[in-house]
Amino acid sequence: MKKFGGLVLFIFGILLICQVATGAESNWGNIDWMQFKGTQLNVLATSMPVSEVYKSKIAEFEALTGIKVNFELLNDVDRKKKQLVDYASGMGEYDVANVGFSNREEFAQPGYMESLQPYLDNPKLTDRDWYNIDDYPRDVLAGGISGDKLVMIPFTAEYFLLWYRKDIFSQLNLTPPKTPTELKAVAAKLEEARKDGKIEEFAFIERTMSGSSEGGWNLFCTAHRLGFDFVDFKDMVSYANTPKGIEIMSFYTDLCKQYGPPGSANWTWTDIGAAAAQGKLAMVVGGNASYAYLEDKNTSKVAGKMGYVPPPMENGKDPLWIWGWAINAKSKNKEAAWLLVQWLTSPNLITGMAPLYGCPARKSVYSLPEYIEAMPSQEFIDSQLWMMENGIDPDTQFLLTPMYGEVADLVSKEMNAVVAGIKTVEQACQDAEAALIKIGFKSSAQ
Amino acid sequence: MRIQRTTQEDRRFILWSIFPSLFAVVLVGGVPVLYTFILSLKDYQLIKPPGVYIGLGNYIDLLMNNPRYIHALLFTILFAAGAVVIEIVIGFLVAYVLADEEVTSRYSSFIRTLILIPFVVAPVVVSYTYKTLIYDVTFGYLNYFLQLVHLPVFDLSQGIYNAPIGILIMEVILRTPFVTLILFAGISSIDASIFDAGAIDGVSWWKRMYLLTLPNIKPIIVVAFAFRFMDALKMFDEIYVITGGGPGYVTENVSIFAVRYGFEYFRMGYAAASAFIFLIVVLVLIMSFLKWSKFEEEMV
Repeated sequence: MKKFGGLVLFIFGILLICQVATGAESNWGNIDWMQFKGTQLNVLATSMPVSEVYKSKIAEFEALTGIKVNFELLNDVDRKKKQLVDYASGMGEYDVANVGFSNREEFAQPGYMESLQPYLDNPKLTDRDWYNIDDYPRDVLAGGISGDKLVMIPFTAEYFLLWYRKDIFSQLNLTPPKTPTELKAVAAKLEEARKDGKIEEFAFIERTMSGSSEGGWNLFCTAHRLGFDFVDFKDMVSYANTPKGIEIMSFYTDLCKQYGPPGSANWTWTDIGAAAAQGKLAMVVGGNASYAYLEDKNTSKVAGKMGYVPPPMENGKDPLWIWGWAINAKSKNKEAAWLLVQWLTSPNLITGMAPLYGCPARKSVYSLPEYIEAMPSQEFIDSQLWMMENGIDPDTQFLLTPMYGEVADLVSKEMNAVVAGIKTVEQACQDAEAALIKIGFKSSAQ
Repeated sequence: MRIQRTTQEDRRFILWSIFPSLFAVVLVGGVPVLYTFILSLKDYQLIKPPGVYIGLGNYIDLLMNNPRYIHALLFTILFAAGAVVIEIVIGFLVAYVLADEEVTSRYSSFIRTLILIPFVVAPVVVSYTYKTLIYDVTFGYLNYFLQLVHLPVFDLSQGIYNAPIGILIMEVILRTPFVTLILFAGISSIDASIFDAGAIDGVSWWKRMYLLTLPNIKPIIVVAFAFRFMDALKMFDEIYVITGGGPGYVTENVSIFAVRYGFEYFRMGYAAASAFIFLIVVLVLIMSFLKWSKFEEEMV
């Protein structure tokens, strides 16, 4: 009887192992993940919280596929430079790299990024039912398409939200602004309260340091939310020195000068995040992905006190920002690279990682209990879903133009000069237009 | 003593001996310069390869049609000259005091160690520290103390003077130790009998410095100036971190200009031309300075 019991236990154990193995296989779709065993892939990624999470999980991919991955993290400026040099030289050093939304056309138009559709359609490489690309909201996936080619698969969906201090708004009986007019009015009330000594926080801030990825980005996005673009890249026309251009520039610089902390014209995004986390600001137009800094109980003084709503808009929408994974067109291991891209953007991995970084590109994740539990509030989740479905414009022209960097830098330098008190708004708009004309734009007056 | 002439074989041996080093120097120095020059003759954009040959088009546009570049060039030269002159003056005074026999070697060693601290920290770290912990109006110590004594705040981001002054002060604090060390070595190497003779003649402290010390270390001052001037001309980290070239274009130097055009605007040919013009300007400036200071004559 004892012998028989041992045999039953042995058979049960074998069955259990088989079950686990089968379960693990089906959990990752119906393809052979080991088909490129022994290959080595080089990956380049921007150093940011989500990349750190990815890096910590790469060993799981290596165990699943037998592919060795060198995962290199660089700050975003260096990541872009290194990636561009690798692409332009045609060396194919990095097989896979993350690409920011504004770099998409810079890299896609010269043909540096591999079209991913053939890999997605190849049943040997992709189990489409399991991968479920339809889980991506239409506008989010569109962010990875250049012309008619899918060149990168998004893994984050980012946009601006208005962060506000719930405790201060409650104390002063204020409601979060929805329009630019309301924003000005609320900022004025907060500033009044600060001067009266009721609160210590500065009313409002947006980035005003020059640079296409600093103040230029915020200025162009704010303008777009108000239904205006400083330039028309398609017809190469500058609207910087028009009445509307002057009005937008005035609105932006006035708000920052009147209600922002002194010295903040020199603040980068990191500085603004730190100021918000230290409780120096009552309202910030900031990215949804940054909630983690604010809600970290160990480092932030405002954890649990922040509210998040869609940013004030009028006649426009917010430009979408996504991070996506792309394959180098000169890679020598494209199929293995696709396995990695597929794994990095798979439902399994995104579901598991989303609670750690907050802004996944896959929609189904937003209703998962573990995700909801990890987020700061239902208001934050609802605001994100609202933005993803109603508040973003995936075809924002200015972002999808290789010249964006130069144009935004030029205009932001003039905006920064206004905030620094070096130029008037009119002079700045005039100089911005002159700089744009020098690089090939026409004046709208022509 | 009869000097033996080198034979053909000796010369061949010498040439073969220095060949590896010469090859390495040409490879890491000459080839990039040559490539930069070739690039500068093209309208080469990273996002629209390949480049198109346009001759001196980039050079003409930079010098005739781009006031931003002229501003960057002037700012670079004036800022570097100003910073290095201040560093030489302060560095000399500190070195002179340290080398004075009245200052015991114990104090001298302590002070030398102390002034080396900013010298051994990476410039990017120092820059970030100055930007956030010292100059920043909200978080910085400088403005905290200024406000304590009811003085106006010093805001780097306002006006056209604050940012250059802020960077200049940091640069002087960061780089003066290097000058001090070189000049200290120079002063220490002066033959003590010269000062003894001066003491017998009863020269004052001022005359001792002006008539005895300075002429004896002139070649060393020239070397220190040339080294520091070349280094200050290619300053990048400090400006990039503290102001990013702002406010507006106020603190944009040639290095920032070239990086921006090359890697943000993707115009590699244009950026290469801007760097090449700068290289020529630096060579002319340094050669003129050395000639003016009769450096070679002094060395002989």
